[in-house]
Amino acid sequence: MKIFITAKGNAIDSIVDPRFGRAEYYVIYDTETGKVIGGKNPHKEGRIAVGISFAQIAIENGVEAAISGNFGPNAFEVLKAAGTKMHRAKEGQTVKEAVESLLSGELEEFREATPREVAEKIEKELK
Amino acid sequence: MKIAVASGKGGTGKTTFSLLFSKAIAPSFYVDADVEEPNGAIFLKPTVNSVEDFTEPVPRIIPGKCTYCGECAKACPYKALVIIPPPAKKTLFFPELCHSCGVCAYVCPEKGALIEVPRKKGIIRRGKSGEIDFMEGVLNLGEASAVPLIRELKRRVKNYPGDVIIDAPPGTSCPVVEAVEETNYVLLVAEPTPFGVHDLSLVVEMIEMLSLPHGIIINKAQEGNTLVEDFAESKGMEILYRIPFSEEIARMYSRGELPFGEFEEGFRKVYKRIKEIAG
Repeated sequence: MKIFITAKGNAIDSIVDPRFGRAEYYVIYDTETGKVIGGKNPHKEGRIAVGISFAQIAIENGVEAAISGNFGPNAFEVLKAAGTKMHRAKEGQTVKEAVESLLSGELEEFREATPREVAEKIEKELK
Repeated sequence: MKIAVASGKGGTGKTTFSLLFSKAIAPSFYVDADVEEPNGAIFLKPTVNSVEDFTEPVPRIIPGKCTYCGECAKACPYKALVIIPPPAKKTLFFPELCHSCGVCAYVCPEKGALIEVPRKKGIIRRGKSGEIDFMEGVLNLGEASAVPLIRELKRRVKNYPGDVIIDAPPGTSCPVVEAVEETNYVLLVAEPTPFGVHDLSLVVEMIEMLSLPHGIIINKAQEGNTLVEDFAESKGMEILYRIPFSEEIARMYSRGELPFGEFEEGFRKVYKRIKEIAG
Protein backbone atom coordinates (compact mmCIF):
# COMPACT_ATOMS: atom_id res chain seq x y z
CA MET A 1 0.00 0.00 0.00
CA LYS A 2 1.18 3.51 -0.87
CA ILE A 3 0.60 6.25 1.69
CA PHE A 4 0.68 9.99 0.94
CA ILE A 5 1.87 12.11 3.86
CA THR A 6 2.11 15.91 4.04
CA ALA A 7 5.37 16.96 5.65
CA LYS A 8 7.70 19.82 6.53
CA GLY A 9 10.48 18.12 4.57
CA ASN A 10 10.79 15.40 1.95
CA ALA A 11 12.21 12.64 4.15
CA ILE A 12 10.85 9.85 6.31
CA ASP A 13 11.96 11.63 9.51
CA SER A 14 10.36 14.99 8.55
CA ILE A 15 7.57 16.29 10.78
CA VAL A 16 4.04 15.91 9.39
CA ASP A 17 2.67 19.22 8.03
CA PRO A 18 -0.76 19.87 9.57
CA ARG A 19 -2.07 21.42 6.33
CA PHE A 20 -3.00 19.44 3.28
CA GLY A 21 -3.25 21.78 0.27
CA ARG A 22 -0.70 24.26 1.54
CA ALA A 23 1.74 21.73 2.98
CA GLU A 24 5.43 22.36 2.30
CA TYR A 25 6.28 18.86 1.05
CA TYR A 26 4.76 15.46 0.49
CA VAL A 27 6.21 12.04 1.13
CA ILE A 28 4.90 8.88 -0.49
CA TYR A 29 5.71 5.74 1.42
CA ASP A 30 5.26 2.27 -0.07
CA THR A 31 4.65 -0.23 2.73
CA GLU A 32 5.47 -3.21 0.52
CA THR A 33 8.81 -2.09 -0.86
CA GLY A 34 9.77 0.40 1.83
CA LYS A 35 10.42 2.90 -0.95
CA VAL A 36 10.09 6.58 -0.12
CA ILE A 37 9.56 9.38 -2.63
CA GLY A 38 9.33 12.98 -1.53
CA GLY A 39 8.81 16.27 -3.24
CA LYS A 40 8.00 19.91 -2.77
CA ASN A 41 4.35 20.86 -3.00
CA PRO A 42 4.30 22.67 -6.36
CA HIS A 43 0.91 24.23 -5.58
CA LYS A 44 1.78 25.66 -2.16
CA GLU A 45 1.74 29.27 -3.33
CA GLY A 46 -1.11 28.74 -5.80
CA ARG A 47 -3.99 31.15 -5.82
CA ILE A 48 -6.83 28.81 -6.65
CA ALA A 49 -7.72 25.14 -6.32
CA VAL A 50 -4.64 24.36 -4.28
CA GLY A 51 -6.16 21.41 -2.41
CA ILE A 52 -7.61 19.96 -5.62
CA SER A 53 -4.29 20.15 -7.45
CA PHE A 54 -2.32 18.69 -4.57
CA ALA A 55 -4.81 15.84 -4.12
CA GLN A 56 -4.31 14.99 -7.76
CA ILE A 57 -0.63 14.31 -7.12
CA ALA A 58 -1.73 11.72 -4.57
CA ILE A 59 -4.20 10.18 -6.99
CA GLU A 60 -1.71 10.07 -9.87
CA ASN A 61 0.64 8.15 -7.62
CA GLY A 62 -2.03 5.60 -6.86
CA VAL A 63 -2.01 6.01 -3.11
CA GLU A 64 -4.59 4.25 -0.97
CA ALA A 65 -4.24 6.36 2.14
CA ALA A 66 -3.29 9.92 3.06
CA ILE A 67 -2.05 11.37 6.33
CA SER A 68 -2.15 15.04 7.27
CA GLY A 69 -3.41 17.22 10.10
CA ASN A 70 -6.35 18.55 8.10
CA PHE A 71 -8.07 18.16 4.75
CA GLY A 72 -9.94 21.14 3.25
CA PRO A 73 -13.37 20.67 1.64
CA ASN A 74 -12.21 20.41 -1.99
CA ALA A 75 -9.23 18.15 -1.32
CA PHE A 76 -11.47 15.98 0.85
CA GLU A 77 -13.99 15.60 -1.94
CA VAL A 78 -11.35 14.68 -4.51
CA LEU A 79 -9.60 12.13 -2.30
CA LYS A 80 -12.90 10.63 -1.18
CA ALA A 81 -14.01 10.20 -4.80
CA ALA A 82 -10.73 8.44 -5.53
CA GLY A 83 -11.33 6.11 -2.60
CA THR A 84 -8.32 7.38 -0.65
CA LYS A 85 -8.68 7.01 3.10
CA MET A 86 -7.70 10.15 4.99
CA HIS A 87 -6.16 10.07 8.46
CA ARG A 88 -5.19 12.60 11.09
CA ALA A 89 -1.58 12.41 12.28
CA LYS A 90 -0.93 12.95 15.97
CA GLU A 91 0.58 16.31 16.77
CA GLY A 92 4.33 16.52 16.22
CA GLN A 93 4.68 13.06 14.65
CA THR A 94 7.30 12.40 12.01
CA VAL A 95 6.29 10.79 8.74
CA LYS A 96 7.69 7.45 9.94
CA GLU A 97 5.85 7.62 13.26
CA ALA A 98 2.61 8.59 11.57
CA VAL A 99 2.87 5.68 9.13
CA GLU A 100 3.54 3.28 12.01
CA SER A 101 0.55 4.68 13.91
CA LEU A 102 -1.62 4.27 10.84
CA LEU A 103 -0.52 0.69 10.27
CA SER A 104 -1.26 -0.22 13.89
CA GLY A 105 -4.70 1.34 13.54
CA GLU A 106 -4.10 4.24 15.90
CA LEU A 107 -4.90 7.12 13.57
CA GLU A 108 -8.33 8.68 13.42
CA GLU A 109 -9.95 8.60 9.97
CA PHE A 110 -11.48 11.81 8.63
CA ARG A 111 -15.24 11.45 8.12
CA GLU A 112 -15.60 15.03 6.99
CA ALA A 113 -13.41 17.86 5.76
CA THR A 114 -11.82 20.51 7.92
CA PRO A 115 -14.12 23.54 7.59
CA ARG A 116 -12.67 26.26 5.37
CA GLU A 117 -12.56 28.81 8.22
CA VAL A 118 -10.56 26.43 10.41
CA ALA A 119 -8.17 25.59 7.56
CA GLU A 120 -7.62 29.30 6.88
CA LYS A 121 -6.93 29.97 10.56
CA ILE A 122 -4.31 27.20 10.69
CA GLU A 123 -2.66 28.58 7.56
CA LYS A 124 -2.49 32.06 9.11
CA GLU A 125 -1.00 30.77 12.35
CA LEU A 126 1.72 28.87 10.50
CA LYS A 127 2.66 31.96 8.50
CA MET B 1 -23.26 58.89 -24.14
CA LYS B 2 -22.03 56.19 -21.79
CA ILE B 3 -20.65 57.62 -18.57
CA ALA B 4 -19.04 55.32 -16.00
CA VAL B 5 -18.78 56.27 -12.34
CA ALA B 6 -15.82 54.70 -10.55
CA SER B 7 -13.86 55.48 -7.42
CA GLY B 8 -11.07 53.15 -6.44
CA LYS B 9 -11.98 53.35 -2.78
CA GLY B 10 -15.36 52.00 -1.69
CA GLY B 11 -17.87 54.18 0.08
CA THR B 12 -16.90 57.47 -1.56
CA GLY B 13 -20.38 58.01 -2.95
CA LYS B 14 -20.47 56.39 -6.40
CA THR B 15 -24.06 55.29 -6.07
CA THR B 16 -25.19 58.53 -4.41
CA PHE B 17 -23.60 60.58 -7.17
CA SER B 18 -24.69 58.24 -10.00
CA LEU B 19 -28.32 58.42 -8.96
CA LEU B 20 -28.43 62.18 -8.34
CA PHE B 21 -26.65 62.70 -11.64
CA SER B 22 -29.00 60.33 -13.51
CA LYS B 23 -31.92 62.32 -12.13
CA ALA B 24 -30.37 65.67 -13.01
CA ILE B 25 -29.85 64.72 -16.66
CA ALA B 26 -33.02 62.59 -17.03
CA PRO B 27 -34.28 61.02 -19.21
CA SER B 28 -31.40 58.65 -18.59
CA PHE B 29 -30.55 55.01 -17.94
CA TYR B 30 -29.01 54.08 -14.60
CA VAL B 31 -27.14 50.75 -14.62
CA ASP B 32 -25.95 49.29 -11.32
CA ALA B 33 -22.88 47.31 -12.38
CA ASP B 34 -21.67 46.78 -8.82
CA VAL B 35 -23.10 43.29 -9.16
CA GLU B 36 -21.51 41.86 -6.03
CA GLU B 37 -23.35 44.37 -3.86
CA PRO B 38 -25.77 46.45 -5.88
CA ASN B 39 -27.61 49.04 -3.79
CA GLY B 40 -28.84 51.65 -6.26
CA ALA B 41 -32.35 50.19 -6.17
CA ILE B 42 -32.62 50.92 -2.45
CA PHE B 43 -32.53 54.65 -3.18
CA LEU B 44 -34.07 54.79 -6.64
CA LYS B 45 -36.99 52.54 -5.65
CA PRO B 46 -37.82 51.65 -9.25
CA THR B 47 -40.90 49.76 -10.37
CA VAL B 48 -39.37 46.46 -11.43
CA ASN B 49 -40.89 45.09 -14.62
CA SER B 50 -38.61 42.17 -15.43
CA VAL B 51 -36.37 39.77 -13.57
CA GLU B 52 -34.32 37.35 -15.64
CA ASP B 53 -31.85 34.64 -14.75
CA PHE B 54 -28.29 35.23 -15.80
CA THR B 55 -26.77 31.91 -16.81
CA GLU B 56 -23.49 30.74 -18.19
CA PRO B 57 -22.53 27.39 -19.72
CA VAL B 58 -20.80 24.89 -17.46
CA PRO B 59 -19.68 21.35 -18.25
CA ARG B 60 -21.72 18.24 -17.61
CA ILE B 61 -20.02 14.91 -18.09
CA ILE B 62 -22.20 12.12 -19.40
CA PRO B 63 -21.38 8.87 -17.52
CA GLY B 64 -21.41 6.01 -20.09
CA LYS B 65 -19.78 8.21 -22.76
CA CYS B 66 -16.84 9.58 -20.78
CA THR B 67 -13.69 7.48 -21.06
CA TYR B 68 -11.98 9.20 -18.10
CA CYS B 69 -9.07 10.24 -20.30
CA GLY B 70 -8.71 13.42 -18.24
CA GLU B 71 -8.10 15.78 -21.19
CA CYS B 72 -10.77 18.22 -19.93
CA ALA B 73 -9.31 18.41 -16.42
CA LYS B 74 -5.80 18.86 -17.84
CA ALA B 75 -6.95 21.72 -20.05
CA CYS B 76 -9.06 23.53 -17.42
CA PRO B 77 -7.10 26.63 -16.37
CA TYR B 78 -9.16 26.97 -13.19
CA LYS B 79 -8.96 23.33 -12.03
CA ALA B 80 -12.72 23.12 -11.86
CA LEU B 81 -12.73 19.53 -13.13
CA VAL B 82 -11.17 16.45 -11.64
CA ILE B 83 -11.23 13.13 -13.46
CA ILE B 84 -10.32 10.06 -11.46
CA PRO B 85 -9.33 7.26 -13.81
CA PRO B 86 -10.34 3.60 -13.43
CA PRO B 87 -10.82 1.76 -11.20
CA ALA B 88 -12.51 4.62 -9.33
CA LYS B 89 -13.96 6.18 -12.53
CA LYS B 90 -15.23 9.37 -10.96
CA THR B 91 -15.66 12.87 -12.30
CA LEU B 92 -15.86 15.92 -10.05
CA PHE B 93 -16.95 19.42 -10.98
CA PHE B 94 -16.36 22.45 -8.74
CA PRO B 95 -18.84 25.03 -10.06
CA GLU B 96 -17.48 27.88 -7.94
CA LEU B 97 -14.12 27.56 -9.71
CA CYS B 98 -15.56 27.40 -13.24
CA HIS B 99 -15.23 30.54 -15.39
CA SER B 100 -17.34 29.12 -18.25
CA CYS B 101 -14.47 29.42 -20.69
CA GLY B 102 -15.57 26.32 -22.61
CA VAL B 103 -12.13 24.82 -23.09
CA CYS B 104 -13.23 21.49 -21.54
CA ALA B 105 -15.91 20.98 -24.17
CA TYR B 106 -13.46 22.07 -26.86
CA VAL B 107 -10.75 19.54 -25.98
CA CYS B 108 -12.97 16.56 -25.13
CA PRO B 109 -12.14 13.88 -27.72
CA GLU B 110 -15.29 11.79 -27.12
CA LYS B 111 -18.34 13.04 -28.94
CA GLY B 112 -21.16 13.78 -26.50
CA ALA B 113 -19.16 12.87 -23.39
CA LEU B 114 -18.93 16.44 -22.14
CA ILE B 115 -21.78 18.80 -22.88
CA GLU B 116 -22.31 22.36 -21.74
CA VAL B 117 -25.42 23.20 -19.75
CA PRO B 118 -26.59 26.58 -18.48
CA ARG B 119 -26.05 27.34 -14.81
CA LYS B 120 -27.67 30.28 -13.05
CA LYS B 121 -25.05 32.70 -11.77
CA GLY B 122 -27.24 35.66 -10.91
CA ILE B 123 -30.17 37.75 -12.04
CA ILE B 124 -30.78 40.86 -14.11
CA ARG B 125 -33.53 43.19 -12.94
CA ARG B 126 -35.01 45.95 -15.05
CA GLY B 127 -37.43 48.70 -14.18
CA LYS B 128 -38.20 52.37 -14.22
CA SER B 129 -38.40 55.24 -11.79
CA GLY B 130 -39.89 58.37 -13.31
CA GLU B 131 -37.73 59.33 -16.25
CA ILE B 132 -34.92 57.01 -15.22
CA ASP B 133 -34.62 53.56 -16.76
CA PHE B 134 -33.13 51.10 -14.33
CA MET B 135 -31.13 47.89 -14.67
CA GLU B 136 -29.04 45.99 -12.16
CA GLY B 137 -27.15 42.74 -12.07
CA VAL B 138 -27.11 40.67 -8.90
CA LEU B 139 -24.39 38.03 -8.81
CA ASN B 140 -24.91 34.90 -6.73
CA LEU B 141 -22.72 34.68 -3.65
CA GLY B 142 -19.45 32.82 -4.12
CA GLU B 143 -19.30 33.08 -7.93
CA ALA B 144 -15.83 33.11 -9.44
CA SER B 145 -16.15 36.25 -11.52
CA ALA B 146 -18.38 39.32 -11.77
CA VAL B 147 -17.06 40.13 -15.24
CA PRO B 148 -19.50 38.13 -17.41
CA LEU B 149 -22.57 39.59 -15.71
CA ILE B 150 -21.24 43.14 -16.06
CA ARG B 151 -20.43 42.41 -19.72
CA GLU B 152 -24.04 41.28 -20.23
CA LEU B 153 -25.43 44.46 -18.60
CA LYS B 154 -23.28 46.55 -20.92
CA ARG B 155 -24.26 44.51 -23.96
CA ARG B 156 -27.88 45.30 -23.19
CA VAL B 157 -27.40 49.07 -23.08
CA LYS B 158 -24.97 49.20 -25.98
CA ASN B 159 -27.52 50.48 -28.43
CA TYR B 160 -29.55 52.59 -26.01
CA PRO B 161 -29.90 55.93 -27.76
CA GLY B 162 -29.86 58.15 -24.64
CA ASP B 163 -27.43 58.69 -21.82
CA VAL B 164 -26.35 55.71 -19.74
CA ILE B 165 -24.79 56.06 -16.28
CA ILE B 166 -22.83 52.98 -15.26
CA ASP B 167 -22.35 52.67 -11.51
CA ALA B 168 -19.10 50.64 -11.35
CA PRO B 169 -17.84 48.42 -8.54
CA PRO B 170 -15.13 49.82 -6.26
CA GLY B 171 -11.49 48.85 -6.69
CA THR B 172 -9.33 48.58 -9.80
CA SER B 173 -9.72 44.91 -10.68
CA CYS B 174 -11.25 43.15 -13.69
CA PRO B 175 -14.91 43.94 -12.85
CA VAL B 176 -14.09 47.67 -12.75
CA VAL B 177 -12.20 47.46 -16.03
CA GLU B 178 -15.19 45.69 -17.57
CA ALA B 179 -17.59 48.35 -16.23
CA VAL B 180 -15.65 51.34 -17.54
CA GLU B 181 -14.34 49.91 -20.82
CA GLU B 182 -15.73 51.44 -23.98
CA THR B 183 -17.54 54.21 -22.13
CA ASN B 184 -17.21 57.78 -23.37
CA TYR B 185 -16.16 59.25 -20.05
CA VAL B 186 -15.27 58.10 -16.55
CA LEU B 187 -16.24 60.17 -13.52
CA LEU B 188 -14.12 59.40 -10.48
CA VAL B 189 -15.84 60.06 -7.18
CA ALA B 190 -13.19 60.83 -4.58
CA GLU B 191 -13.27 61.77 -0.92
CA PRO B 192 -10.66 64.10 0.53
CA THR B 193 -8.94 61.70 2.92
CA PRO B 194 -5.48 60.10 2.68
CA PHE B 195 -7.11 56.73 1.90
CA GLY B 196 -9.39 58.38 -0.62
CA VAL B 197 -6.52 59.99 -2.49
CA HIS B 198 -4.41 56.84 -2.35
CA ASP B 199 -7.12 54.70 -3.95
CA LEU B 200 -7.98 57.48 -6.37
CA SER B 201 -4.38 57.40 -7.59
CA LEU B 202 -4.72 53.67 -8.27
CA VAL B 203 -7.91 54.02 -10.29
CA VAL B 204 -6.44 56.97 -12.22
CA GLU B 205 -3.50 54.78 -13.18
CA MET B 206 -5.95 52.15 -14.46
CA ILE B 207 -8.06 54.68 -16.40
CA GLU B 208 -4.92 56.15 -17.99
CA MET B 209 -3.94 52.69 -19.20
CA LEU B 210 -7.35 52.35 -20.81
CA SER B 211 -6.93 55.84 -22.37
CA LEU B 212 -10.39 56.95 -21.29
CA PRO B 213 -11.23 60.61 -20.72
CA HIS B 214 -11.89 61.21 -17.05
CA GLY B 215 -12.47 63.82 -14.38
CA ILE B 216 -13.03 64.07 -10.67
CA ILE B 217 -16.09 64.64 -8.52
CA ILE B 218 -15.12 65.42 -4.93
CA ASN B 219 -17.65 64.10 -2.46
CA LYS B 220 -17.78 65.13 1.21
CA ALA B 221 -15.72 68.19 0.29
CA GLN B 222 -14.62 70.35 3.21
CA GLU B 223 -13.41 73.94 3.32
CA GLY B 224 -9.65 74.17 3.47
CA ASN B 225 -9.05 70.52 2.62
CA THR B 226 -7.14 70.35 -0.66
CA LEU B 227 -5.97 66.72 -0.66
CA VAL B 228 -7.83 65.81 -3.85
CA GLU B 229 -7.13 69.17 -5.51
CA ASP B 230 -3.40 68.76 -4.93
CA PHE B 231 -3.47 65.29 -6.45
CA ALA B 232 -5.56 66.46 -9.40
CA GLU B 233 -3.19 69.33 -10.06
CA SER B 234 -0.17 67.02 -10.03
CA LYS B 235 -1.92 64.86 -12.63
CA GLY B 236 -3.35 67.71 -14.66
CA MET B 237 -6.85 66.40 -14.03
CA GLU B 238 -10.05 68.35 -14.02
CA ILE B 239 -12.30 68.63 -10.96
CA LEU B 240 -15.83 68.86 -12.24
CA TYR B 241 -17.82 69.26 -9.06
CA ARG B 242 -17.57 69.43 -5.28
CA ILE B 243 -20.38 67.91 -3.25
CA PRO B 244 -20.05 69.44 0.21
CA PHE B 245 -19.81 67.27 3.30
CA SER B 246 -23.26 67.08 4.84
CA GLU B 247 -24.49 65.21 7.87
CA GLU B 248 -27.99 65.58 6.54
CA ILE B 249 -27.14 63.61 3.37
CA ALA B 250 -25.55 60.90 5.53
CA ARG B 251 -28.70 60.71 7.64
CA MET B 252 -30.90 60.49 4.57
CA TYR B 253 -28.64 57.80 3.10
CA SER B 254 -28.99 55.68 6.22
CA ARG B 255 -32.77 55.84 5.77
CA GLY B 256 -32.49 54.74 2.14
CA GLU B 257 -33.13 58.23 0.81
CA LEU B 258 -31.14 60.68 -1.28
CA PRO B 259 -31.50 64.44 -1.81
CA PHE B 260 -32.91 64.06 -5.33
CA GLY B 261 -33.26 67.45 -6.91
CA GLU B 262 -30.27 68.99 -5.15
CA PHE B 263 -27.14 69.97 -7.08
CA GLU B 264 -29.11 69.55 -10.33
CA GLU B 265 -27.98 72.76 -11.91
CA GLY B 266 -24.36 71.99 -11.13
CA PHE B 267 -24.67 68.43 -12.39
CA ARG B 268 -26.17 69.63 -15.66
CA LYS B 269 -23.09 71.81 -16.07
CA VAL B 270 -20.93 68.76 -15.40
CA TYR B 271 -22.88 66.92 -18.09
CA LYS B 272 -22.39 69.77 -20.54
CA ARG B 273 -18.67 69.79 -19.85
CA ILE B 274 -18.44 66.01 -20.38
CA LYS B 275 -20.30 66.38 -23.64
CA GLU B 276 -17.78 69.01 -24.79
CA ILE B 277 -14.89 66.68 -24.03
CA ALA B 278 -16.28 63.28 -25.00
CA GLY B 279 -19.54 63.74 -26.86
